[in-house]
Amino acid sequence: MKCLEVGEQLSAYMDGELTDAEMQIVTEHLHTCEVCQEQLALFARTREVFRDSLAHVEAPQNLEFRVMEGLTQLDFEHQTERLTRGSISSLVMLVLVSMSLLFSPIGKFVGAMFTVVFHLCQHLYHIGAILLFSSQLVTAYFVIILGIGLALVCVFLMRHLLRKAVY
Amino acid sequence: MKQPVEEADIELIEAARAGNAEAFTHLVQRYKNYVYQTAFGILNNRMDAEDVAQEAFITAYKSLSQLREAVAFPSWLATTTTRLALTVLKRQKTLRDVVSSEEKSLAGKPDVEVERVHDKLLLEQLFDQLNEESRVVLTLRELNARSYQEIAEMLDIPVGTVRSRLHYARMRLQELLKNSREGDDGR
Repeated sequence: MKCLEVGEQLSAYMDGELTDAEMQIVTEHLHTCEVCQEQLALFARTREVFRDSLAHVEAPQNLEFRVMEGLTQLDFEHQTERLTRGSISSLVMLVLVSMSLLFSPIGKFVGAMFTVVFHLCQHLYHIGAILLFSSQLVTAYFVIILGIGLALVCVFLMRHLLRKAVY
Repeated sequence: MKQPVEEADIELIEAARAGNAEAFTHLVQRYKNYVYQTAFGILNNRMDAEDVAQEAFITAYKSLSQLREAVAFPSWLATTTTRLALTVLKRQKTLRDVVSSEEKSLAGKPDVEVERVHDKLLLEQLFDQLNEESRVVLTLRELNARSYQEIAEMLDIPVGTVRSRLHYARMRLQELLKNSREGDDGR
């Protein structure tokens, strides 16, 4: 084999990237050819210089800071995303639970109870107003207080039912 | 010249994979030079290399769960860096096609201090005189210790082309070193 034929193979020989057969041919050639031996040594020297050159390159001091800054930003984005997703799913859950409660037998029962209590209170008010009061201002106060009372009873009942549904 | 993985590194990698941010901070400290050198070797521009290195670490942090073996971390990190650097290189190439030749000569020139290397050759001078293809294959081979097959896959070229590009790159580097030595002797 002539030196020219070795050509590119010499570089691949140094890298151990030749087939066994090619390796053998180049090895045999190297035993007899000083020019190629010298070329191989030069390739090795070139490799050393290249590696040495890059080894002298140091990352700038602020690289670490920049990476950490990027990671903090990334965490913040993740948290925001998670919170947004959590809020949306909570809202959807709340709507769904409210809807299902409203149309469920429990919801209907609560509604019916509310109507019964409302009518009962209405009658009580009429009776009470006729018996005890005659002025319109007192009547208005009575209506407001009764309304708040009813709302509180409803809230308490809903809370109780929701707790039962959750646990 | 494969980047060695020490026992302490393995522990850090495992901890980082489990979501320990502090462990990842230590990994950044340990591998920043390696990542930066890979990016610089491909791009020959310090600012671009810094951007790529930052991006590489953040990408690695995001996809750390995909890493199968902790021992493969340096190689995996280098692959991430190489991919990002090659993307930048591609983008620059497209940009260079549209900028004027005057701007072209300014693009990619290093703008900060340089280090001295053996044979009194300045690193940036050496890199400037190597073409892009040579720089990339030499970095992947000599710094990242990639096989020809791996380089071929990364650059999407045949293995034979990798072999000839490396041969050409080494010949060119050898010539540059020789010229530099002769220049020094002549002074």
